[in-house]
Amino acid sequence: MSAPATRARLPRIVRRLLPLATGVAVILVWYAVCLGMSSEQRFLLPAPHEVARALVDKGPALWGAALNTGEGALLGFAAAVALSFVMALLLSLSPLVRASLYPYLMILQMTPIIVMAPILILWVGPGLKSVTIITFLICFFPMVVNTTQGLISTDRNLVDFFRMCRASKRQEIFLLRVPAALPYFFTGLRIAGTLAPIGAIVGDFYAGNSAGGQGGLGFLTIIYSSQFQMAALFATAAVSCLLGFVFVAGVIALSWLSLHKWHDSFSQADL
Amino acid sequence: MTQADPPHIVELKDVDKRYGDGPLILDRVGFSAERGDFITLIGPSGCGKSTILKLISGLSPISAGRIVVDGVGPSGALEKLAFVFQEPTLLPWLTVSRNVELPLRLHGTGGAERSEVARKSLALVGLADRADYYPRQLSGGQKMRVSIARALSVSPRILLLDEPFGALDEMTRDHLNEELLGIRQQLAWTAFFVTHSVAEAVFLSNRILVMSANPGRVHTELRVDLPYPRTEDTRQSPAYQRLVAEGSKLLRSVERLKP
Amino acid sequence: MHPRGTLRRRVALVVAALAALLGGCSRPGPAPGASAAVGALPKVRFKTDWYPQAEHGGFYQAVARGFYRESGIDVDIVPGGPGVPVSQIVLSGQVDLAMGRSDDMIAWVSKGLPFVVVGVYMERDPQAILVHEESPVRTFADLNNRTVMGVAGSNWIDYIKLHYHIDFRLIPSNFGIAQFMADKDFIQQCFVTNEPYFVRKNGGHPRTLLMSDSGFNPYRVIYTTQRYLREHPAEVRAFVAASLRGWDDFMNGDPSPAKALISKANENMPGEFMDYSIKALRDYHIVAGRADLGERPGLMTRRRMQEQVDDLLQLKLIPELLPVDKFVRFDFMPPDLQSGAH
Repeated sequence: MSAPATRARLPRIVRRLLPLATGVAVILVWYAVCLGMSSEQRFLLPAPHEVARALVDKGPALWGAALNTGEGALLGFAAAVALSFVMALLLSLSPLVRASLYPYLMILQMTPIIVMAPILILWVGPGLKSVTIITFLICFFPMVVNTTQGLISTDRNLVDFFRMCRASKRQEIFLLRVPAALPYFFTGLRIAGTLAPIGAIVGDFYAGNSAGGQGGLGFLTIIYSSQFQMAALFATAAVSCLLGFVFVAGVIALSWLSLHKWHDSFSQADL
Repeated sequence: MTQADPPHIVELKDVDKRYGDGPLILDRVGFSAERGDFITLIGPSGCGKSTILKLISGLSPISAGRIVVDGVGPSGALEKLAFVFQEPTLLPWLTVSRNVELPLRLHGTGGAERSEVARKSLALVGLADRADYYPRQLSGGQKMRVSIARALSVSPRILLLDEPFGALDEMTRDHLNEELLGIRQQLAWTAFFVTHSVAEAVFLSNRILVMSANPGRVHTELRVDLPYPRTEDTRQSPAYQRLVAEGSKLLRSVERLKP
Repeated sequence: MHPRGTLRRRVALVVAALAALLGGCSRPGPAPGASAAVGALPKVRFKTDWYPQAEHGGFYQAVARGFYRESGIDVDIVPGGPGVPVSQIVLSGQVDLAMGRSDDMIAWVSKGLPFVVVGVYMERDPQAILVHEESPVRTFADLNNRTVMGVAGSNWIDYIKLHYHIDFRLIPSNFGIAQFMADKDFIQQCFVTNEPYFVRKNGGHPRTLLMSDSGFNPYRVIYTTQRYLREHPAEVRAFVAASLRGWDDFMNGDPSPAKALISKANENMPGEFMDYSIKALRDYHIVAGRADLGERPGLMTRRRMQEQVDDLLQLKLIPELLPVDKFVRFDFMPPDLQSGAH
């Protein structure tokens, strides 16, 4: 048989299993590290099965906390999406508007959350409202920047074409600039989607509370840490990670729905 | 009471053009076009041929002189004009037929009528079966044909084409040239065409305006007396080849001119 | 980006384990019985639970007045801070001993963590509930259905709820008094030696409910790992003895050496505030306890430790009864206290 034929691509099954194999390798290394530690240090790094057990034992608490954090993240994220779009439309109107508003947006972006959170809680009180606002603040700026960039980067030729068709300003914005800006919008959305769960957990750290199971993942972190429940802490980290994945997956799905038919970011080969 | 159609559908008289305080792009350009003319502007880079199209279309204002389009100024005639750009400038998020419908949609025409017009336009360029495709699924030549279909959807009286086939290979270009003339037989529009290719200019037009650069002026006019309809056979005829040679010579002489 | 900077604090609680792991991969602490160099005293690292403050005064006094050196050890006080995981750091071997609370010790040792209490430096916990003078909250039972700002996961929360059959909402502590000053109905956890001073300084009128009056009465303890105790008993004994001597001198003698050392280590520590704290320590019998109840500075009794184990068992915070000897070594107290240990 000819040699080139046997050097074909790895069979599909191998490619599918590769990430799984890596995962198994990671877990084996984890166990190896645990075994190599002193009896004191063993308490600092729980073994994989201990984390798994904590996930089961603390399941209800983790699930409830994840829902709470998820709720805050979703609300803050949705608010950021909506308001950033309005702000981007405003900013896209003229360089003068951009020059006057951008500095204030920058100030908002640069002020660290650690400083803003306590002030916020003072005004708004703890709970879902504060968590939502903190998440909003974290997501807002990247979305504004990206969407604005998209709205002002419309192809000059297309703008000329619209002008030739005597399109009104409103038509130009909603039939040309906004659809053209969608890829940029989704870039911003992807960034915000990663930040939203983080923002909600940080917010929860400052503004969470235990009333009626309203605590989120940040709140649980404080409890498990102060009670030296390391396996539960790792389990909380795992759940937080999962929440992040869910958000990003959601955003990618939205982005696929809107763009896959016509945008190059979804190549024909994947259809 | 209807006014009699003016004899010249487009008229330029002593037109100057400069951008701001910049150098003179066009210097006392003047010519007129009769209804049904196919005029090609040809010349070295920087002679302002694309600029003239922009002036006629009203995308850019003149700095001096007079320009009359279909009896009114350019902005008044916008509804009777259609522009085909160098790039297809299709909206990537719309299907082919929605792209073709776009000018009518911007104008406010109803949905059913738009679809019908789009269908007809696409049939003219031979892309009726691609109506639901997206631009990224088309080849360069097909995209250009959609762009032309879109221009035709408004039933223009004047068609402006700025090097529309420049990015395509020679065979596609020749085919599209033939298609364009075929469509012209069915719909009577006056065309202004810009190209770098003398062969294309001779094949398509009845009048070629050879321009010189720095500043842009109309240097010579070459009349192309070849009969319409022109086909691929026309390219073999001695008359055609003679005209191409003459046109090339003119072009070279204009390029050698001192500014 | 700032959210990640904040997040690092939370992640530090998780990654502290890994970082400590990598940092402490070598054997924790000096080799048994060895000195760093001929003539140099063995180094002992002691971690506190906050920035340097008067509530750590006795230890700083012992350093400033050379009591540790006289006992044969060279002590390094390593301050903690908000969010610093003290117990994890002890476990990793980065420090040798630390300060803590007996109720935490019981909970952790019940989990199998190898800690051991070797001494106490405060007979009573200075933790309290802080309210405004005019607040209707006068007893712990009055906390029912209210909102309290406190450190989530603390044992006193469950204790108070269970003991008084009440429930209240908990919001996370940010260790400040801004919300308290802004809201007359605000209730928060505090140290009786600390927050009331700042409330008064800002024109407020605070009132406190001392935690130890609720029946939740932990010791403030000195603890270490079982391994360190096994390998360095002499250092531990010396540390406990000299520390108690430092506390005695700090409370009953001239505290200026400690105050000077604290000020140097913590620029934000006004002398007037330290004086307030020292007075509060005295007025509330924090360090010395109540003599009429048989309490003495540095004394830990089996009975009281047992009571705390029982409390936590009742709260279901520990799964089963923990023998006192599993988490306390009474024989490292100074000899004169050991007879009172029962």
